[in-house]
Amino acid sequence: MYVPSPTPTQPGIMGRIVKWVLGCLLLGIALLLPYKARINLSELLGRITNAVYTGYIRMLAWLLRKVQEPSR
Amino acid sequence: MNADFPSRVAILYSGGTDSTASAALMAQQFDEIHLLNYRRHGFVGAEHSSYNAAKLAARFPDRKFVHWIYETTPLAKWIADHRRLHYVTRHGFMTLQNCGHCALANHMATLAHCLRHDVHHLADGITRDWPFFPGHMDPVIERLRGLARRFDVTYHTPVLHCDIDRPMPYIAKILAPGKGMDPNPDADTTGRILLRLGLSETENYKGTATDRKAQARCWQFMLPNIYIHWIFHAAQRPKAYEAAVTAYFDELIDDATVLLQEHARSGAHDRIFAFLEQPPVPIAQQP
Repeated sequence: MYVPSPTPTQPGIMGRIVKWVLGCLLLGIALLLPYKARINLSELLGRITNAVYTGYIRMLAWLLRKVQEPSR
Repeated sequence: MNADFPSRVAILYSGGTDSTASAALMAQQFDEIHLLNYRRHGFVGAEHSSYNAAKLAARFPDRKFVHWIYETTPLAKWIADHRRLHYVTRHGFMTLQNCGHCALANHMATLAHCLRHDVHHLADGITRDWPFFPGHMDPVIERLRGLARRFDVTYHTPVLHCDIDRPMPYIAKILAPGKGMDPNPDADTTGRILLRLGLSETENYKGTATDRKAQARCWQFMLPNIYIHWIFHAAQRPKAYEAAVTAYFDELIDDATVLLQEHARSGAHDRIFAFLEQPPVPIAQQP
């Protein structure tokens, strides 16, 4: 059972429109694809998102460690 | 346990924290535990589920654990593609719910296994995590219970009541791996169940290297998430989303019931259920 956040974030109207158009485009393409190609598309998008997100966070972690290191 | 009624349970087993906790809890009630892992197109590393299977077998030496890794791509494809025109025209982008299809495929495969091996109980590691994925939503869980009942199988959800770990910033996982985020010392998370039973060294290893060593990986969550968060805005209107998911899965589960009944009655659809011929994989000894 989903419990809504007491302080929900409301995306801006432009952000919503851009995401809606881009989402409809990607999902529309996916609907037309055969099973394995559809899975592969979803997987490709997932891998790209995962790589970008983890890459960004790992870079932040590396920077934090550098800052915490005692200066020589 | 009654000797006339085999004390067996089938676990929908990914090898991760939740399903391992579920298997451990069920091992305290049943003599023979079937760990069923499913490999299908897009899954990487299904064999990783052997890692915790071996730990379970070592932790409960008086129980019999049997581990299968079934290849179920034809079944998953059937769920996603049968009567496609009907479903797409009626439910639109909802038909791209890969993760819901996966949950239904796993339940159907487990029921087919139960019918083949005379098992009357199944369990999974479903939790309140991922509230918008159909397999984790209460109405769908109840319909899956109904599906199991039709085949004289009881569907247990032993960790559904568990507290879920607070969303953990990825950076915290990197800087302090294995540390739980829940400040409540009484929170009953699946990670803490494993720690308590001696099946884990930490209270939360989700998302860490240990987690990746223990279960298959899958990156197919993007299409469902785009639909859920960008198109439907499910967080803003959860009731409408729940109704749409329920309408879609009602129909899918009706079709699944017919397919399973035809297979059980006459062995029909043997290509879809060919995975049942696969032998179990050996469970390695813990050092």
